[in-house]
Amino acid sequence: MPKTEKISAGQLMLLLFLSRIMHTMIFRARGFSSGTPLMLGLFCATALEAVAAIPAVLYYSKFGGDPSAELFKSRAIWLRLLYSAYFAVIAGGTVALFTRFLSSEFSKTVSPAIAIILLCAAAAYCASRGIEGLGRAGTVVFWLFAALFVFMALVNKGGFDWLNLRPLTAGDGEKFAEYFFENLSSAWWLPMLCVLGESLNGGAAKAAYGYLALKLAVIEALLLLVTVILWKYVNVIGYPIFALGAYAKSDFIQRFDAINMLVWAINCVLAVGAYLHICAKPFKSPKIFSPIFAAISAIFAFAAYFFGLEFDSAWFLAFKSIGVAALGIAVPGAACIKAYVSGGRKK
Amino acid sequence: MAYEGRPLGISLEGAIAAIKAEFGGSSDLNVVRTEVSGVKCAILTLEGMVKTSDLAKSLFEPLMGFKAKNAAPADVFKFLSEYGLFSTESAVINLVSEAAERLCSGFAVVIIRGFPRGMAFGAQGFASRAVSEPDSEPNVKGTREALSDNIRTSMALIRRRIKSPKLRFELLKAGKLSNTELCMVYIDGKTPNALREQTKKAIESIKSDLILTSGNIIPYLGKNGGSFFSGVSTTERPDVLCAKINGGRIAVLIDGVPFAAICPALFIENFRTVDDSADKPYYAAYQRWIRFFAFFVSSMLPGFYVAAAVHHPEVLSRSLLLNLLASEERTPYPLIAEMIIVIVMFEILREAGIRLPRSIGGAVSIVGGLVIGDAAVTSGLISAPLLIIIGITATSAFVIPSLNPQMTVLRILNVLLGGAIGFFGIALLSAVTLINACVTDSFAVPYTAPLTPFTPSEAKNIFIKTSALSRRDFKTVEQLNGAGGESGGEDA
Repeated sequence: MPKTEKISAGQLMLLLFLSRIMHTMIFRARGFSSGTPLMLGLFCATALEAVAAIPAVLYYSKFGGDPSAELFKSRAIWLRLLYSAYFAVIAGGTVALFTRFLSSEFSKTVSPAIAIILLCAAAAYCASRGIEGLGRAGTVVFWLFAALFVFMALVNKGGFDWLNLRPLTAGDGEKFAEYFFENLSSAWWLPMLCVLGESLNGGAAKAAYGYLALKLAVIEALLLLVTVILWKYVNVIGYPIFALGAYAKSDFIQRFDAINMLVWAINCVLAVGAYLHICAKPFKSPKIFSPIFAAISAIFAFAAYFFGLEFDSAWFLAFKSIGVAALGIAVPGAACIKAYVSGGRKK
Repeated sequence: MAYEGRPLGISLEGAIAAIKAEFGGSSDLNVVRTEVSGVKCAILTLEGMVKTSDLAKSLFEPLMGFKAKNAAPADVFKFLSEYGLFSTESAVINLVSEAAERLCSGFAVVIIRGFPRGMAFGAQGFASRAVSEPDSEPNVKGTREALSDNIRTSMALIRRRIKSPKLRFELLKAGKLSNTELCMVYIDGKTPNALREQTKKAIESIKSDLILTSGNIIPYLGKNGGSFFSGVSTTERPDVLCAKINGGRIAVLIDGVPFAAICPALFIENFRTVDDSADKPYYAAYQRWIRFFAFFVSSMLPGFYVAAAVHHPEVLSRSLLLNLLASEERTPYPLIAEMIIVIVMFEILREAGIRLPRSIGGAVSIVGGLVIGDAAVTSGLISAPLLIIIGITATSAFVIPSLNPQMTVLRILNVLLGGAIGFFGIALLSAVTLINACVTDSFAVPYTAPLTPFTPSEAKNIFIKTSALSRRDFKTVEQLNGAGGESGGEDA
C-alpha cells in the first residue's frame, strides 16, 4: 500500500471552497445597504468563472501533467516560480486582511505583529506536511464551518424581514459592478486548480464545478441571511458573516464573535497553508521551502499592515485579476492547444 | 560469543564445557549426567525454565527405559530423534550456540558422548501469571480474560476465539540480547500481504538489545516522524485483538508482555469499546457521542475557560460571568497560573495513584480530592468554578484512557495559548494538531479514516451505530478510502 501524495476531487473542491470562504470572511462591507446587487454580482461572476474554468478542466481531463512543463519543457521552472510569487502575495494578503480583522475586533487579545508571525508559522507547518494532510484537514474544517454557520443562523437574535430584500434599482449598478469585479478578481482558485490539478487523482471537472456550485449555494445563502435578518447590523459591524453571530438569543452563549474568530483562524491557517504549499511545489523539499515562502508572505503582510500596502485596493484588485487571467486561464488554455497540436497526447 | 559457530563435537565434557562457557558459568545452568544403555549422556536445562515434573515423566523415564545390547551413541541418538515421543517440540542440535539458544527458550538439551549432535526437547514450564482480568481495559459484558505474559498462553486465548485454520501465527525473534519471541497474528485473506511483509521487515529492523515492553517495538512498527498521535495501538484483551485482526489489521504478541501491538491504528478506534456490540445500537451510539464529547472536554475545556474568562468574556452568559468574576476576585493568582497549578497538582495525584500500591492509591485520591481541593478553595487559593472545571476535565480524561498522553499535552498547551492570546491561540493549536493527525499514516492507512478520507458506510457506523444484522458491507482497513492514497473523487 504505497503512499501517493494525491488528493481526491472532493478534497480539492473543499480546499478551494475554504480558501474562497476565507476571502468572504475577511471581506469588509462598505456602505452595505442591500444584498440584492451583491447576490446578483456573485451569480454573474460564478457563471463567468464556470466558462473560465474550461481550459484547466479540459487540460486535466484530457491530458494531465503539469501545464507549465507542457508549455516550456525544461524552462518551465520560470513559469512555476511565477505561480509561487503570485501565491506568496495572495498568502500575504490573506494574512494581512485577517490580521486587520483581528486587530479591529480583538485588539486586546493579540498584537498584529505576533498574529502575523504565528499565522505564517502555523501555515508553514501545515504546508510542509504535504497536500494529503491539507486535503483531509479541509474536510474537517468545512464541517466545522458548516456546523457553526447553521448554529449561528438558528440562534440569531434578528428576525426574518423579507422587506429587507428589496428589488434592484438603477442606483445599484455601481454596487453590482464593484462586487462582480471583486468576485472575479478573487477567482484565484483557477491558478490553484492549475497547480493542484497535478496532485488530483482524477475528477478535475468534479472538483471545479462542484466548487462553483458549493460556493454559489453557500455564499448566496449567507448573503440572503445577512440581508433578510440583519443588514442594518452589517454597516455597524463591517464583516457580514461576523454580524450573523454577533447577536445570539441563547442563554448559554451571548455572542459568537470569538467562536467565529476561532473557526476563521483555523480556516486561515489551512488556506494560507494551501497557498504556501503551492509556492513550495516547484521545489523538491517542501519542508525547507514552505517556511521560506511563509517568511516572504509574512513580509508582505507586515508591509500591508504597517506600511499601508492596501490588499483591498485597486492595484491589488488588478494584480489578482491579471494573475487569474494569465495563470488560471491563459496557461492551461495554451497548454491545451499545444497538447492538441503536438499530436493529441492522451492522459 | 567465542563459541558461536563451534560444533558440539563428540566429547561430552568438551561440549558441556563449551556450553557452560557460552553462559559464562551462570549458576542457573543445570547439568544432569546419566547413562542410557551404557552410553554416557548429559541433560542440560536452565533453572526455572523447564517444568521438572514433565521432564521427568516425558524424557527421563523413557530414556531410562531404553535398553539395547551393545548400544552405540548413534543408537541412542536414533532413539531420541526418531522413535521417542518426548515432546511436541524437538530439534537436532549441531552447534554450541544452537544449544544455548534452545536452553534459553525453555528446552532440555540432551548431549551424547561420542556423537556430534544433540537433541533439544521443549519442556517449557516457567512460572507465569495466571490468566487474569484486563485491568487497563475493563468492560461490562465482554470477556474477563486478558492476554498473558506467556506468549503461548496468549496464542491459545486467541485461537480459542477464532477456531479457523485461516488464523495465522508467525513466530519471529527480536532483541539482540533478550532474543525475545514475537508473534505476528493475522487472518489469511483479510490482512493484506503488503502489511504482513512490512510488519515483518519492521520487526527484523529492531535494533534494541532488550524487548521488555510493547513500547520497544512500536517505534519500529509505526514510523511516523513528528507525529503527535500513534499509528499503532495496544490492547490486553484477546477479544479486541480478534476483532481488529478481523478488520484486516495485524497484531504482534511479545513474550513476557501481556499487551499486543496492533497496526494500523485509527483515531476513531479510541472511541470504540467491546460493550458497544453488546448494547442496543441507539445506546451504543449515544455512549460513543459521550466519548467524543469527553475527548474535547478533556483536551480543551480548561483552555476555553481561561481564554473566555481572560480575553473573551462576551461569549459567557451574563450570570455565569458575574459568578466567575466574584469567585476569581478572591484568589491571589492570575487565572492562567491558577489553572496550571491545579492541572499540575492533578497530574501529580494521578501519577501517585498509579505508582502506589492499590491499597494506598485510594487514600491518595481522598487526600487529593477532599483535603487539598476543599482546603484550597476554603483558603481562597483557588476558585470553586476552576475546581469544578478541573473535576469535569479529569473525569472526562478517564473515559478515553488510550488518548490520555495526547489529551494531557493538549490541555496544558490550550491553557497556555488560550491564556496568552485567547481563542486565536487555541485555533492555531487546533489547526496544527488537526494537520498532524491528518498526515499520520500507519502502513499507508490514514489515521483519520474513515472520517477523512471519508468512507460513508464505516463513518455511518461510527456516529449512528448500526446493528450487526443491518451491517452487510463490513470493510477492512485496506478497503477504507484513502488507504494507499486517495481514491479518485469518491471521498471528500
